[in-house]
Amino acid sequence: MVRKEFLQVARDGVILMILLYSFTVDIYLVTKGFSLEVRRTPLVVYDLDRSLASQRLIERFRPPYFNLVAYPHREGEVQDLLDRGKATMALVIPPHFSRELEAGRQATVQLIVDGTHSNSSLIAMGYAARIVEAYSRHILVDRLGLTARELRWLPAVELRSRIWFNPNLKSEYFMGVTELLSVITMISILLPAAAMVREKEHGTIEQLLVTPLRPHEIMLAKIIPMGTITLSAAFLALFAVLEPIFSIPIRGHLGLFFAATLIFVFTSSGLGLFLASISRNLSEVILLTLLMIAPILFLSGSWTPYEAMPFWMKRITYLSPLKYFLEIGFSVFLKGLGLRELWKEFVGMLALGGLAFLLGVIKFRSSFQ
Amino acid sequence: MSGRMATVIAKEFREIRRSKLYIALTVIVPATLMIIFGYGMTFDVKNIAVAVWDLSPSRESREYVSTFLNSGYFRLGLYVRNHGEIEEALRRGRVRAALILPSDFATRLEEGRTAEVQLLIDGSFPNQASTIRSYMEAINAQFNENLVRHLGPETVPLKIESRVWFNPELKSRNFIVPGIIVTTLLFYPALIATLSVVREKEQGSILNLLSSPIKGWEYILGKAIPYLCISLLVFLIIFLLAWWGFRVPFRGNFLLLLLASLLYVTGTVGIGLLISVLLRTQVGAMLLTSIVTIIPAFFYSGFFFPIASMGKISQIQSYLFPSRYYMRIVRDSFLKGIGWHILWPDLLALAIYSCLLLLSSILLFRKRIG
Repeated sequence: MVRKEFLQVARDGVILMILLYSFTVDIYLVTKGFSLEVRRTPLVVYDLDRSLASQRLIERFRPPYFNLVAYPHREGEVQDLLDRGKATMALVIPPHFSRELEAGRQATVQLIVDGTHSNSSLIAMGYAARIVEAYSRHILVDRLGLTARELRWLPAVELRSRIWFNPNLKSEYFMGVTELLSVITMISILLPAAAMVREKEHGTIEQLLVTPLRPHEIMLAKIIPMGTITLSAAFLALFAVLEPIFSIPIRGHLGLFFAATLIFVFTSSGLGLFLASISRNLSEVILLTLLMIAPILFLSGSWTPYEAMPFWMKRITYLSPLKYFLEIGFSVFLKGLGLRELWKEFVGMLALGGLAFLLGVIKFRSSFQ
Repeated sequence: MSGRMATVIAKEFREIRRSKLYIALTVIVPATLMIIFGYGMTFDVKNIAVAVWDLSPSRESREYVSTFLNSGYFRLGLYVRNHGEIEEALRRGRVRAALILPSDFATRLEEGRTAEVQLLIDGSFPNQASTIRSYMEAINAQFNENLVRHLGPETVPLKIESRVWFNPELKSRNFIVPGIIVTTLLFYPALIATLSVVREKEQGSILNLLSSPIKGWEYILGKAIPYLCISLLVFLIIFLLAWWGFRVPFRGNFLLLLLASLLYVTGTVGIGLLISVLLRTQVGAMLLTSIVTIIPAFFYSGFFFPIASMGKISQIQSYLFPSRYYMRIVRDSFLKGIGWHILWPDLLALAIYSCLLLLSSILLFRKRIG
C-alpha cells in the first residue's frame, strides 16, 4: 500500500511540478525579494527657512533610509501628499530655523508621520531622531568651538549594539528558513489530507477497510510516502537553493534538523488525516485546513513577537507544532544548538504528533463502524 | 442573464448546499481567522526579556537600567554575573537582549566622560531585533538628554518634534486588522472557487457541456457568481468584526469600499477559477491555489512591510496580485478617510485586474473544451 501511494503521487505530474516549484522557485523568490528592513521611506520636506543650515539638515535625510520625493510649497500640499500616500513622512523646518541656531538658542523641527503602517513608522521615526541628534551634536561642536574629542566633557552613555547569530540582520537567513518551514507545513498537512479524502470520495476506502489492514496501518501507509517526499523536497530546497545561493549558515547538526522535520511531518500529516476523517469531500478539507494552517503559519512566533501576545494566545501557540519546529530550525542553523538544549521542543512535537495521530485513528475507526 | 447561466448558478449553489458542515464553515472560518489574527498578531514590542550584567552596581547604573525597565517595553529577564551566563541565556532564547554595564560606568559619568554600554541582541528574528535596537537607542538618547538637561537648552541645539497622523497612538492593531480583510479576501475566495470547474472534470460531468448549447462565458460566470455572493457576505462579516469588534475607526466611504471589495473578490475568485480551468485534478488545484495565495497574501500586499521597502523582484511580483491596490483602499478608508477623488486609480486597477482574470478563464476554458 505504501508503494501504491508513492505511485499515485509520482504519476500525477502536476503535483510533482507544484512540489518542485514550491521547494525551489518559490523559496528562492521569497528569500531573494524580501527585505525586512525599513528602507527608502518616502519623505517630503517643507522648508520654510531655505537657508544653508536647513539645507545641511535636509542633506542628511538620504537613502537607504529615506527617499526625498518632493518639496511642497504650501501646507495644503503636505497634507495632500500624505493623504495620497506619496509620502509617509514630512519634515517641516520652521521659518526662523537658522536664525535661532545662530543666536545659540534651541531650534525645533517638526516631523509629521503617517501612522497607518505603525510598525515601520516607528522604525523610520527612530532613524529621523538619530539623524537630527547627530546634526545637533555637530552644531554643538561648532558652537562651543570644540573638537569632537573635546566634546567628551559632556557626560553621556554610548550604546554599542551588537547583533548575535545574524550580525548584519540579513533577512535572507530569516526569510529562507521561515519560508522553507512554511512550505513544509502546508504540503505536509494538505497532501495526506487530500489523499485520504479522495479515497473517501471515490468510495475506495471501503475496499481498504475490508482488507486485513488495521486503521493505524492505513494511516501510516498514507503518512510514510508523504513524509519521504516532503523530506527529500526539504533536502532539495536546502542544498539546491538556500545553502549554495544564500549561503545560509548551518552551525548545528543537520541530522537534528532532519529528525525534527521527520517528526514534524508526522505530526502535521496526523493533523491532515484527522481533518480528512471528519470531512466528506475536498471542499470541506480546504476550509478546515485553512482554519488550521493560517494561524499555525503566522502565529508561530516568527512574524509576531511571542512576548507581545495576550496571555491566552501564548498558551494556544504551544499547540502549534510549527512553533517548536521553527525554534529547532533557527537554533540548528543560526545558533548551533544541540539536543541537550532542544529536547523540550522535541518532546513537545512528539507529544503533539502522537495526539494528532491518535485522534486520527480514533475518528477514522469510529466513522466506519 | 441567460437562462443557461441561471442553471449553472443554481447547480453550483446546490453543490454548496449539499453539506451542512461546509455552509457553517464558509462563515465560521473567515470570522475565526479574523478573531485569532486580530488578537494574536501584533508588532508591538512589549515585555521583551533583557539580561543585565552590571559590573559595579551604583546609583547611576541602577538608574540607567531602570529607564529601560520602566519604559514598558522591556522587563528584567535575569541578572547575570559573567559572560558565559549571557551567552547561555541568549542562545536558549530566555532573553532577547542583554545589557552590559562596564565597571567604570558611574565614575565616567561623574567625570563628565562617555561611558560605553554594550548591548547584545538576538538576531534570529531580524524584524524584532531591529525594533528592539531602535527602542533601546531611543531610550538611551532620552537618558543622555536628562544627563545634560541642567546645563541649559544650549546643549541640545536642535530638537525634533513628531506628530503622528491617522493613527496617533501607533497601535499596530489599527493596521493589522484592516490588513487581515485584504489577505483573507485574497486566499479565501480563491480557495473556495478552485474546485468548482475541476470537480466536474474529474467526475466527467463536464462532458455533458459539450452537447449543450451553453457558451463559455455563461459557464464561467455562472460558476463565479455563487462564490462572489459568499465572498461578499464574508466581507461584510469581517468588516463588521473589524469595526465593531476591534473598534478600528472607519473614516472613509463605505460604498467605495464595498465596490472595491466586489471588484477585488471578483479578481480573487478569478484566480481560483483560472487554476480550476487549467488543472485536471482537484488535489492539484487545491495545492496550487494554496501555494500561490496563502503566503503571498501576506507578503505581496504590503501587510508586513511597505511595498516601497521591498526588493526589486518583489515589487514587480506584487503587481501579480490585486492586493496591493486593495490594501491601499482598505487602509486609507479605515484610517485616513479618503474618498473617490484620490482612490479612483486603484479602483480602476482592480477593475482591470478582475476583468483580465475572468476573461482569461473564459478563453482558456473555451480552448480546452472546444
